Amino acid sequence: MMVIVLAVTIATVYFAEEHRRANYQRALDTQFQNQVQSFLKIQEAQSEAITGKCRALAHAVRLRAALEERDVDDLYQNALTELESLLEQPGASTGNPPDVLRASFFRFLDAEGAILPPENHPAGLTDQPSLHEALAAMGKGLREEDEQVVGYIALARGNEPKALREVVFTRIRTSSGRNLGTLVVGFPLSNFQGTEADHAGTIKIGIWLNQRLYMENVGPVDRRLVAQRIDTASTRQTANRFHVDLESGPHLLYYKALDPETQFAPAYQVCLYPLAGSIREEQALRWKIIALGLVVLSFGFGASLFVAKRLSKPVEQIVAGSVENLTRRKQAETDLLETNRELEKALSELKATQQQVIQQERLSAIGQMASGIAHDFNNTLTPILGFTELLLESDMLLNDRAEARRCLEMLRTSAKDASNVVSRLREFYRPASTDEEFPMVDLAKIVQQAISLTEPKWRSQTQASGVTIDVTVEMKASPFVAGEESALREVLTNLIFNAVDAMPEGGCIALETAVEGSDAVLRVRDTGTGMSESVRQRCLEPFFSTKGESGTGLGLSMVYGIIERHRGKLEIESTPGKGTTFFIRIPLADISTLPASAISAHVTPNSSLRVLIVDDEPSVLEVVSAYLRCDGHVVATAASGREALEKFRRNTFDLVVLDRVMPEMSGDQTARFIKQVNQDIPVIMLTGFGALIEVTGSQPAAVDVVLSKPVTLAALRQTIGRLLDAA
Amino acid sequence: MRYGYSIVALALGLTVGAVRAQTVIEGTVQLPKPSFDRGLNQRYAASNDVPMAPTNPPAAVIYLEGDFRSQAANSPKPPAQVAQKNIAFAPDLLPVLVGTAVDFPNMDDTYHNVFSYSKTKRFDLGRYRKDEKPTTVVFDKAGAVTIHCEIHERMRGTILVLETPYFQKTDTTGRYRLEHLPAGNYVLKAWVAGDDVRQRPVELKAGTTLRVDFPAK
Repeated sequence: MMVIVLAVTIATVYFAEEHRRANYQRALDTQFQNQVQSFLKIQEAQSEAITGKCRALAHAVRLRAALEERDVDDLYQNALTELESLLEQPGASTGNPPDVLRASFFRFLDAEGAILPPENHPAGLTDQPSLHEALAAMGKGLREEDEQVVGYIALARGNEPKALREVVFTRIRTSSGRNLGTLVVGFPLSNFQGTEADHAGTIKIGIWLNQRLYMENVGPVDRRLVAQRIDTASTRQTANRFHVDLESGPHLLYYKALDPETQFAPAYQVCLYPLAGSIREEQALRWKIIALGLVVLSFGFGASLFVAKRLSKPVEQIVAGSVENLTRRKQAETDLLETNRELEKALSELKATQQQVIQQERLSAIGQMASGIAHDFNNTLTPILGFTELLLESDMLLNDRAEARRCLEMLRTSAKDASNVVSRLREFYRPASTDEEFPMVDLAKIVQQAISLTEPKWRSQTQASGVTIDVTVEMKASPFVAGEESALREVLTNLIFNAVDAMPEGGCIALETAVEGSDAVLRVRDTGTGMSESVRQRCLEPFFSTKGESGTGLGLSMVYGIIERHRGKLEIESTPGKGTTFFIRIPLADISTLPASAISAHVTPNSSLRVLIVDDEPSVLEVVSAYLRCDGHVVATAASGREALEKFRRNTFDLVVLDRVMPEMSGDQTARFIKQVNQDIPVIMLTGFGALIEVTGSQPAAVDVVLSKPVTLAALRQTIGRLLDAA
Repeated sequence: MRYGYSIVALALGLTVGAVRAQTVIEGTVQLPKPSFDRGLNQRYAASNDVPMAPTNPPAAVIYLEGDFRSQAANSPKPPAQVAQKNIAFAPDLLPVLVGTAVDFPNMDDTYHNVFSYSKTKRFDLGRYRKDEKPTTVVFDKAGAVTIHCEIHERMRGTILVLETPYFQKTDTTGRYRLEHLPAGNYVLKAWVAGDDVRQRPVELKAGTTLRVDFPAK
């Protein structure tokens, strides 16, 4: 009896353990792959930004003209203006987290690939003889037909990625295609483990270049080992993912050629994932299971002891009570089965916990932001396109002033959301702060807005295909929460879009707001196809989609991210064939702790001011002048810093609004000159794309306020009000 | 009627020719095939939708080089013009005498910004719209000046500043005819592009017509 119990228990534990171990291996592998993919996605996005910026620069007319005349002075001077927002400020960036997209040097090559030395012009990294040697060698390797080539060079002796530079060679041609020369811009390699605290100590990222490994926190023995392994693996074209036993423990290794077709020395991106921690974790888990098995075993022993005691009674008693005995034995068997069931239940709970851990890990993968931006942008474009089409196609609607106005307001809301999406690009490079302060928002209003915004999709688009979708709203309460309006709107538009996609035969979307305890609750229910258990489990993962080609797999992961940011919770209930319900809980706003600015953001227009607006972009000039004229200000415009100074000297102004990046004289310089003429005049600076790149860009001394483009009337009004109150 | 005028003109020409025979050089410069814009335009992507501006037909400038400094100084210098029209310089090749004032009016409804980094003449007119400001530049040194518009990367033109009054822009097939030339030994040059200047020594005898062709290099 005891032997049977023992055997059954051991077998159960053994199989459970085997099963779990296989699962764990798979999960680890997936986790590693997901993280690596995220890193590579970011790398790619960044590389695209860098090469794109270089291509744009190669089209700058002044650079081309100067290069054609071989006018080194003008060449480097103009390039400095064009690259100002991109170039590292020597000494300024120390102490700040290493921001990406900062060039560390630039040079020009002539048509034959020889370096045009910058002479006395600043072009970054001046005292690096090794730089010029490396560039000269690479310049010779350029082919006439190359438009853009990326290479890697090592500048210092160190073994860390910061000794490396990514060098982008971009051909400069006349508009008829004649080769004038090459623009060379060098960027330091980004270092993710430094910025992402979550991943510190997990994945190590580095570069393998010229048989050498550039990676931080790796010992010399390991460094050589990894370098050799990649060298052999890359020449033999074997798998790009394998286990390595390093001095510091077992690791998973992944490597990928950065540019397989390069004519320069090949470089590989290398990712190392230490298994030691995971193995410890796995061992802990195994002990837990064995301990559980022991508990079950002793329980089983107890049970069998009990049975054995009964068995040791006199034989006749056994015979006499054979019927009774039989029932008892059955009872013992049931007990054993029950125990086994409990064991299984405990096991599945353990598995669920593990799944949850993996899920969280996956979701925190930073890569989800990368394509998320594009996804969000598309979502905000849908209402913009929808309403514009409606307005354009229906004269009736256009003549109905109130209705047309409503459409226009929707357009504006969507456009603002789009601009918010773009500003979130910044967060892509910066870990989100945990103590974000949100203004107070009315959830009921957001629900109404989301329904109106998505109307083109659930009404027009579906009716066109002969399907009807009803949307109902039940406001049991009108709760206020602390939150970002556009983000919460995005949560709802995403959920509504998903619901519509889930109901190809039509159906009903029911939205509901309520207050439960100290939480605001939002419920979005559809009568669509629903999700299977496995889909429901994975639906929050980035890049997981059931929509095939048309889905990005980012909608729900964004929803999850936004709700997390609002310290909320997301629950999903789904029955295949019946529909899906999303529950969102967000803590109610505590009005007493809200920042004062969140409650009153209205500023009355000031009395008439004389304003000078400086921007080289005529369209910006027009918009900003229109804004200010609409508030009754007197506006003068200038298309360049020089023109602005002339006008400023001749006339009196109360305020100057200027662009940062302008040819000839930058906004910073212009502001400095203006302050020299009149120190008390308030200066507002508008910055465009530059602000996206320089996350920690310092405010120029001569400027009072920096606003990022696109600027809204409200922001401008508020800033002007604030500036003049201060004055 | 028209034939009548032509005949009168021809007769007049013959009479004049008979009285004082001219010294003439004529011929053909073989011009490069018109280059097609590769349409590389990523910076101002929106302008890709605009129909491509017609490129100016090819032409060359033919001029007689010698010591004509005093003649050049005394010759009348009517003001010349390089307009910006349909996002192109019109004309995109202009020969002028040293000291000539060239106006750069904007005929388009958009901004232009004409500038040059050439060592012969550096200038920068800044951005301007139609009739917004005076846009005249005096070219006081001989040489080729490449002009650009900062806003429109395809715009490109050349002003050839010469120290000789004997010059002419060929027609679009490359034909030219220089008249009223002084006798003597000179160098005849054909400016086709910045990196394509062809030249031939010529000996001019009074009252004769010399034929000089410039085949492609």
